[in-house]
Amino acid sequence: MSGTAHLRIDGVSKRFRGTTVLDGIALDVAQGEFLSLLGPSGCGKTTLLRILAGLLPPDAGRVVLGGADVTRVAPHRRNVGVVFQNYALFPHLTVAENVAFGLRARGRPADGIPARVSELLSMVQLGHLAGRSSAQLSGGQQQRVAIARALATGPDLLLLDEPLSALDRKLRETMQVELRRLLRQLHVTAIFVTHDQEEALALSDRIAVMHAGRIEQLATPRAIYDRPATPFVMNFVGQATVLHGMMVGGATLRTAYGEVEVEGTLPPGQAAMLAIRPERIAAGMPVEPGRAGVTLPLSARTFLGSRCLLHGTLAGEDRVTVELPASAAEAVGDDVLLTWNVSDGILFPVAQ
Amino acid sequence: MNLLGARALAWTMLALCLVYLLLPLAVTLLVSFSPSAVFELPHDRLVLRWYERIGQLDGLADSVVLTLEVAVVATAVSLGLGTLAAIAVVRGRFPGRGAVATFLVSPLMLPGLVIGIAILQWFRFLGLREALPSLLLAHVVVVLPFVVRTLVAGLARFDFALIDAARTLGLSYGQAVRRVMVPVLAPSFITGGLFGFLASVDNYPVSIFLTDVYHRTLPIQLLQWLGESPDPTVAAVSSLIIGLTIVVLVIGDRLVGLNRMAGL
Amino acid sequence: MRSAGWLSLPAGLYCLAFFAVPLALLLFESVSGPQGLTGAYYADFFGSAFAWGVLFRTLWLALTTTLFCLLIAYPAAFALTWTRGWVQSLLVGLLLLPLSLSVIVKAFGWTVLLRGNGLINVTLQALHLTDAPLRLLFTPAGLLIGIVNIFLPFMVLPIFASVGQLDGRLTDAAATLGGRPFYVFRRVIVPLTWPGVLAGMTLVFSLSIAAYVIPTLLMGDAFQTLPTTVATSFLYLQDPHRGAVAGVVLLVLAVLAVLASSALGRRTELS
Repeated sequence: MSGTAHLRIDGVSKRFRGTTVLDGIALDVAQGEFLSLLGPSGCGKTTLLRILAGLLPPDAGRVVLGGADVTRVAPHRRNVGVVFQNYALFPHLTVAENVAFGLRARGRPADGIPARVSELLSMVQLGHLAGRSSAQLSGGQQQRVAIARALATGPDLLLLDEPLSALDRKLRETMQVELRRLLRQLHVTAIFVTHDQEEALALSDRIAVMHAGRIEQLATPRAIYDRPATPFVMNFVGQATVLHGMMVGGATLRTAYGEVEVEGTLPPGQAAMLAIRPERIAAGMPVEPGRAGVTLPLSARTFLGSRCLLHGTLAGEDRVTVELPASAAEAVGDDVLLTWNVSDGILFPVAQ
Repeated sequence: MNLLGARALAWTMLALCLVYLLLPLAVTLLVSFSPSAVFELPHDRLVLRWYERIGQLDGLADSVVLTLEVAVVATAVSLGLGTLAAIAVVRGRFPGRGAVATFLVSPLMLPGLVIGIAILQWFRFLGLREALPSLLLAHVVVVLPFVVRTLVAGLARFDFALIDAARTLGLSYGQAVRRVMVPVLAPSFITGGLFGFLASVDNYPVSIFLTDVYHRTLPIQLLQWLGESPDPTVAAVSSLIIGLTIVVLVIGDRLVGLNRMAGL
Repeated sequence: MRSAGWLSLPAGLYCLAFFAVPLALLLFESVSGPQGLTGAYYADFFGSAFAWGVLFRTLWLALTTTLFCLLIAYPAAFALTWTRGWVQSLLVGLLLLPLSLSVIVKAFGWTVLLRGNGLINVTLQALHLTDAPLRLLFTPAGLLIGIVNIFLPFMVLPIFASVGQLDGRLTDAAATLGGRPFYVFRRVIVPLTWPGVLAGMTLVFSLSIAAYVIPTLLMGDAFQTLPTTVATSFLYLQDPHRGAVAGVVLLVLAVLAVLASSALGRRTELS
């Protein structure tokens, strides 16, 4: 870990009424990095965000921003911008007044403020709405005002709490692209909280997958998807075909559907679970060297436009999901040989 | 002023506020147990003498009966008229429904004294001189605004999709209203009815003009006793009223919750 | 339900008959002389110095009451929002209790408290704040103490409701934008709680211009206000025209207060 991390979260813990909400979170974020906190509701990501904003003190640990320990510093003395989930725009102020709020609160020279507000509003393409009351805007517009407002004072860190979750899908995808472009352009360090794994994969430089107050994996989107570190990450991000079984011999897993070759170093007799991403699986091809295969029943299809997902009902906790181009999926029958590269299989030990 | 000072000020004002509001009530209670006939405080011992004397107060039973009679009838009528009006205002789509709502609630903001005197003059003009019917008719005007205000607020919050859902599940419209809307609206009903009832029982500005020597509501009678022979018996009656009101509020809290009753 | 409008007819007709018509009659009475409609009664009223004194006293009482209620209620309402659960319910109940009691019951308590040997004087002397008993009954100070007491809950509850509805995320946002606590109070909390404050002020003002029992009991006949003028004109002086004029003036004041309040409310919404 380099000593030049822009933001260092060091052993932060928090308990609420006897429940541990955050358990020793440690995380370094580089200047200009876009990091997502991804996890289900209740995993502690919003609590961590509030601690970073200064709205909540941690029970233990430190937060170091730009070299300064800000753990106990009040929110108005940190230079941290926050975009709240429901935008939290001031209803009694216009769009321009909302954006100017941080500049006025921090006592910036009054004559420079209108220019800065215009600059920010044009960055989010809302210059024409400057005089409008914030209550009269659509969701997408309010969100852009919220972003402009948070960026106005040039914060050292930008925190975004599920900012796109209230938008409909098309708008959300547009905003994702715009947001990423804007933050890259401004070289702002951002921490983005979301429960939507596709969003996290699309936007982030790195993702911290959180579960029950802990970080299960901190890695690039590619690594999180291809090499999930734990079964939770594997299940939470993306889909998979999962087969449970027992290790026999050095590299073989005995499952209910046959023996499959795996890449891994688990001892014989160890219960284990094999996961393969749906798009890595081929249907109706022979097993070649370096590939593993098994025949599984496929009983349902989900048509997604360009692709098709084929599923089946398997015994116990096993499940099969295969992703094929829509045209290829039509030719596939119900009981078919599925093959994949042995190296694409992800092996996890299972507690007995 | 720093944050700590501001918070201290707020807590102090709250404490002051509560003590200040309860002071006259506490004093009334204390005086009702006073050993001497003079309104002096503090005293060394507590006696129940004045409570025993309550029975000797001239006109107490009559005024209590009259007050309750008027309040019960006025509240019942107001609940009937008020519910219909609230439904009309919230569900109807006629021009001026806002004006109707404002009109029905307006007595709350207007000087009760003026309303009382106006009603008196009107009844005189009509030739209505008996106290009981006058009070009954006038008190509906006192109670109705409370009922309408609370019911309109409650109905506005009610999600009418619930009735649609009940009908798709097999209930007729009438059954749906009875089994889905009435229970959800019951708190508004109870709150509006309760405060309207209390408003009638406590009312002074309208009652003062419509009562006569033989028919006095309790507040008017209290004022009379205060003027005639102010001894702690009056304090005893007041204390009983305070006690009963507390009971009513506790019942209201059990049924509906005090925060809801306060309209919060 | 388009026909629902008719359901308001019974209540509407009732209020028309027993509320609107009497008030119209009062208005009529204030302008109907022996030879038809006349403004003579209004001219007489506003021509007399006595009437202007009455008007002044009524407004002075209402404005001072509103001011003191606001000063006490505003901080108190905030503190009330910091309480939770059964404690808050209990405190709200304690606010509702005096509201649920007749003004006579409360006035009685104040006559006892404000006496020369009443509790207030006894306490003040025990704390050595005064040497001799202060004369509080039949003084403006005593009147204010009594009347603010009656109307205080009407100011606390609307402000409390308004503060309670304040979205906590707005104050969070303001803090993260660099607002020190007092700045956030001034720029976010005060503007957003203004509707509740306005509602409380309007209510207390409208109610206190009509106050009758408290001024009569605590100040006696020396303190003539519009309500006392109305009552004495009708009941004792048998001068219904004068009473009607005073009544109409009182009504107009109440209506003006409500209109001013909604105008003020709407203006801040648009700003």
